[in-house]
Amino acid sequence: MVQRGGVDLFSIKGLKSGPTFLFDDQAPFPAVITAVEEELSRANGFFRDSPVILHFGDRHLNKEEWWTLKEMLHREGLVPRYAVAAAAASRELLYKEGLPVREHLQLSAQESKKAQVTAAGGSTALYLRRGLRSGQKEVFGGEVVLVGDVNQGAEILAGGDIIVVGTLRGVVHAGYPDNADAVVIALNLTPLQLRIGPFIARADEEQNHRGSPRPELARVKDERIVVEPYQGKL
Amino acid sequence: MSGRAIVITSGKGGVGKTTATANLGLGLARHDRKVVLIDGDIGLRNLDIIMGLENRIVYHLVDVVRGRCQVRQALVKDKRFPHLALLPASQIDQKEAISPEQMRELAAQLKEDFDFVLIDCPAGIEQGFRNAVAGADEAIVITTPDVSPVRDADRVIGLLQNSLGDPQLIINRMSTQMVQRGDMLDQQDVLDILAVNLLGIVPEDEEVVVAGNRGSPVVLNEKSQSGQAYGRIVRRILGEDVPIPELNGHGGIFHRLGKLFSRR
Repeated sequence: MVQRGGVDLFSIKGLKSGPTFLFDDQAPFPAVITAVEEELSRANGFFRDSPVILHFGDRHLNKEEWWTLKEMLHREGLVPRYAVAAAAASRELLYKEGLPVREHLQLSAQESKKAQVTAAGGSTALYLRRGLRSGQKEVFGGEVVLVGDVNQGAEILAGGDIIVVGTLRGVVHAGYPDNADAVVIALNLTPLQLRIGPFIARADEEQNHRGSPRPELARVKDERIVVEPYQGKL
Repeated sequence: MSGRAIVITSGKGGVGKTTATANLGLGLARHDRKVVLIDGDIGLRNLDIIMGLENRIVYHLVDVVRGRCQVRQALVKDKRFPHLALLPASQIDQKEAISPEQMRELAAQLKEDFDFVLIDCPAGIEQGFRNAVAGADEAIVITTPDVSPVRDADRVIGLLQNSLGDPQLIINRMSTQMVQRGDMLDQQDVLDILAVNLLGIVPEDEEVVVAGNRGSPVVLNEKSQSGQAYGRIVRRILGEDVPIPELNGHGGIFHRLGKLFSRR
């Protein structure tokens, strides 16, 4: 095992959520890459074809570094499932590179409330069996399905559709960054602001709308976001 | 003995954490429980004033943690109940003067001698909050029925759920008239958003301010509405099933927020 001052440059942890690759976030990246190569050659193909979680800690990853790593993982037959990165810049990069990203590694109790499913069409959805409170944010490259409320001050950023089985009060962005075909569905759709692809809509502060909540669907029509009753199909 | 350590927190300042801590402490003491109140607001000490004990302080929380005195030397005995004590905050130190680990040890030590350890949390979600929460086994979140305190309470509940699980909620300063006029969030609005168990509602009451200035918390005043509300909350904390009187309005301010874009 390659070490730097007693710290592993690279290690593999068998967590409940799957094999997790932990990369040191302080050492120069080439040294980390060397450590990864050594460790994987020792593993002798054990992880071949397994979906793995990549944990970058606080590292500010650049595009070149990511491509170097990505190519090596590809050579070893490893499929990244999602990445965990504390640095927002790294998450942004990985997200744009098409890898689902998270800010924290979800462990045991929480993990059981959170799962990814791959739909028939090949798109991946993040399933969240809990609401989001103020200050909480989920970023995911695919669709997001959430059972619970999304409160004011909470945020969801999704590459695809966002479905909230509950009240949506916070800010959501479906189809990030430019997919205008994405939709947002909620049992009670009262967001402060709603974005789909490049379009933004804001709550009307003057309107006094109430009555019993009904499921609604927001989508882009003629270059603007419209909200309509959800009638059981898209 | 192993007591219950409860942190009283809110995120936002000025919603009544310290007043609630004092009232719950006195209320529990009146039910013959041994209670210690920890003022977690290092640098902005207030709980001693509300309790009317400011002239009895010799040592404080930071002295205890730094080993400058024994815990029992720093405990200020209440003038009404001998089994109620206050561990005051330091007025001169910073929040960083103690660590979450030290707070945890202190709370563990106090739980051996007291039935209840109530920790008055400072406003905010930084070090002072982390310290206060570290010592607790359960949490009470306090909010007023206004939009911004509710959002801050929501944030705090999200943070607490990672460590202590679901807190209980007290809604403070509920004004019947304003709710009935529809100018204030009502109980159901607040609970819809926060989705946690309601421990009690304290009505808006001038007596609270007067009592705070006099150092004689309202729970001691049988005639005061808010004092009675704290009395009920105390009984609920002790496990009694006491119904919560409803103060509901007819769809007001909150219902005006929200909606919407162009609809078809």
